[in-house]
Amino acid sequence: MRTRRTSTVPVLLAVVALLAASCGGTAQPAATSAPTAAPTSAAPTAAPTTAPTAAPTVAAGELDADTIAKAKTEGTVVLYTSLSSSDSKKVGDTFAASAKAYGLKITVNRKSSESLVTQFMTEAKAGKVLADVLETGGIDLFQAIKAGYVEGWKAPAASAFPADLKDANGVWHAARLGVETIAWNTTAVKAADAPKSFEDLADPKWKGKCLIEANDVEVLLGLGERKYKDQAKAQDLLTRTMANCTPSDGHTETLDKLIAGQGAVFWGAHAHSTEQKKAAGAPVDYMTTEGVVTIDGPGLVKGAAHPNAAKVFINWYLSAEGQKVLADLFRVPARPGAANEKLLPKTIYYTGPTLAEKFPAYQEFWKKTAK
Amino acid sequence: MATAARGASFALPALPRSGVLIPAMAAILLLLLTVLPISMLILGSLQVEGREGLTLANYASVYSDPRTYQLLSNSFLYALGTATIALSLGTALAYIVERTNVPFRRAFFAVTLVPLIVPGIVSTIAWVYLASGKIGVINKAFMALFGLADPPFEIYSLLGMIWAEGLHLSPLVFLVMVGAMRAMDPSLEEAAVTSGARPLRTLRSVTLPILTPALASGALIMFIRGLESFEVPALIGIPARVPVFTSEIYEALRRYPQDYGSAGALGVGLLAISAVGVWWYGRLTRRAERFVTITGKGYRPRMIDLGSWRWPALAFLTLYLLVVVVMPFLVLLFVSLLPFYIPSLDMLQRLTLQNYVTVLEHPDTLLAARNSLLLAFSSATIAMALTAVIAWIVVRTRLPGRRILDLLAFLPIGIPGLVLAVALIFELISFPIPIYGTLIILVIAYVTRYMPYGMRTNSAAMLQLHRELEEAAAASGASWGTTFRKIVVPLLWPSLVAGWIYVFVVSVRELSSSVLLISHDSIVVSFVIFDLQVSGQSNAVAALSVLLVLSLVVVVGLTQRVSSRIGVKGG
Repeated sequence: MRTRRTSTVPVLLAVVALLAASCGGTAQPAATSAPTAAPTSAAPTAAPTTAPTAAPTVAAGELDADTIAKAKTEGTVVLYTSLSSSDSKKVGDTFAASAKAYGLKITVNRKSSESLVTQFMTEAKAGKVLADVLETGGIDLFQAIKAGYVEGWKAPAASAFPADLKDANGVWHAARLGVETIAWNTTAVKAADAPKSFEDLADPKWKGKCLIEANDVEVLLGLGERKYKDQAKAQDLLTRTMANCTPSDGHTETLDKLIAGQGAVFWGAHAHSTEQKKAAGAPVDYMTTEGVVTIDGPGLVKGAAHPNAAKVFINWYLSAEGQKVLADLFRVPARPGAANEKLLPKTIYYTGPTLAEKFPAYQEFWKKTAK
Repeated sequence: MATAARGASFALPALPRSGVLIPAMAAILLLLLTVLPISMLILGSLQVEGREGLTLANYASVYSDPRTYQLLSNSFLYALGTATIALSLGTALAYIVERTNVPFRRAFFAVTLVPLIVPGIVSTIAWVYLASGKIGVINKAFMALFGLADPPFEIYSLLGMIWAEGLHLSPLVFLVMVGAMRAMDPSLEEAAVTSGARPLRTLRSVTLPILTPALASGALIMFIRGLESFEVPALIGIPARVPVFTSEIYEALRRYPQDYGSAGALGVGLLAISAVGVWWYGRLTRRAERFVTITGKGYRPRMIDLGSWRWPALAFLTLYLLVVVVMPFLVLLFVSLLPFYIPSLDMLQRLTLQNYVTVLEHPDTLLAARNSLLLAFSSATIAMALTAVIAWIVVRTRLPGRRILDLLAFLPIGIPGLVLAVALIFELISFPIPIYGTLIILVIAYVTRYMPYGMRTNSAAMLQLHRELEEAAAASGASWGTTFRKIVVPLLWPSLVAGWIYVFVVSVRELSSSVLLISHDSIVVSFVIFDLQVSGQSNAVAALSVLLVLSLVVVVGLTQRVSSRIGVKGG
């Protein structure tokens, strides 16, 4: 049975050769591997690179012919996104079909937001810019913006967006809104007893019955900065809420636990995933009176290999056509008029990149309280 | 298995100085796989972003924090508990299945390997469904049966973590111990029996002492595996608020700004603990000659007649399989057939195959399966081949620096996967090799990570081989290559196969390095599971896990079948 051939060592040899070769000439001390194209300014003051060249013939919201022509020669766009795998596939496929006329292809790299931005930043520090578009949560995207890895560019398609849903210099545009709310298990909670505001979970009646997403600093940020306009008040609420609630990792994992009966109420549920479970018949419902709304969206990567293709993607994504794909996925698109209003809470507290500078303080407090 | 046999054989076509060449190349490769990332890790831990030069600031801040000592104590208790459970269960199982006449032992052998195959993330999720608070199936059952007001078990605790990880690791001990028991010279036991020793006495006075090197290495591997494990600390430890080293490193890399410095300083701490482990192991096995148990004599392992103890032994095996294989698998199967999980029999009316459709239609499933198989096959082959040569250098030669090789081949066990990935990324930054985002970087990560297992398996087995056979071959004029191929490899065969299967399986399961190193084209199955889980499709995760477990059972079953045939022939 045992076959032996005398010529079968090459795997090992190849690896040795590869590694040996790689270390031969260019061995540099690791310390010099620090960012080669290091960003210097913390504040994203980059002036928009595109001069107002839009030819008069270009329709409102559309790209100029020059960008499109260059995008055609670039041929492909690499999208880094934190959309879920099925959603990112849907977005990628629809864009590819739409961009066929330009001969544009799309490559999608999907990861959860922290992993995605972590990977992106590491690559950027290494001078290996693989992404053309970075599409993720606003607070996460801000890390890349702050580090100077995002190019300012104002997408024509976003001209109708209100000012708080896009950056003045175009380093970010809102594409999708994430509604964070309180969900409850309808088997355990009668409609009359259901929470109507974030303060309700501080009530001792929820002691031991409440789950809280373990890292959901953004809800606290939204409440502190938009609802109370008082950081201390938000911190006090968290302290009292934490006394009743058990931290649980992951928005959707915790939602699953809620449905299974581990808790009666859940602080930090995503409205769209709760809506999906509810539609599938799960015994769950959520608060619509108020909600913290996160602003997620794309940024054009500085030094991208396919900058014009990236612009084509971003502009499509923010257009009525691109935004409809998100709406069809039960998500809340940012474009005015594109969202299903039922999915939005009556009172909205926006977070997003503009609050990102305040985030660390809330995070610090959260860490102490959730210990 | 034929291909692995090829990979593991070291025949170079008549190179005159092959006796030096192959070991030298293996040693160089080892240096590149270990010294580079460890240097990167240490350098990283000595740097603070935005500051010039090297500094101890990260160490000062990490090791002046009382929380670090809580981590240390948690990690230690967790690893110790894990090792205790895994070692006692695994050794008992190996002994019963391998050496006694317990009924259905062949069937048990195969089934016992199943939990080894199950990725950590999957078994952890299964135990969450089984034993978490009010929604755990076992808890529900106990509360209903005994009228309890509160759930009797809580997986979200230190004990829960130990339980999940210990059970999860016990099959690895089983494999290591089966390898050692197969390589054992039964004439020593026979002598004891002939002298009138009863079975337990023989076990205590003869069998266990012979197995000491394997037991010691097993204990050490389990302890360190517990220290560096990631899935249980992340999925159970973080929500249970039982932080350990690895989960803290994970958290440091997950927050903004990423705290590479703290992660590095903690990683170096873990490394230091591992180094102590290696040193300890070295002391334990220094008087290796004492344990030489394979000589040139022909032998056949002897079956021990348990008599009326056959039935309690069978009950023990059945219970083990129930807890470790059947219940986790059934709960995953159940969840995989539901639209959402509720621990109630009413849900049986809502069974659906939709999750399987979702998984099979998932754009990445096929690509990931192909990549995972390819990676596991290459990593297992390279790791076992490389460590067989290194183990030979360490055990057989008197080369200066061989102890350093031993240490180096073992050290990666103390580098958590996440930290290794970070180290590798920085390596790629410093040396312009265009393998970022390819399968090659993953092979490098996997080989580095799992080399220690190959090394322990190979060197524990090599210690039991007397050098007289090799000396005889050399005296007859055989070259190094021929001796290695014709004498060492056949004698190591059971260990090589066991190690290969293990590295194959852990490579398929690998998550913590892959998570940072994969790109879209190099996506792997464990990542798809992870990705579905974090996308909130836990029922689809269960479906994919069921499919993955079933296909791995087939692969391992075939490997086992083929290799045992070869083993009989070769032995």
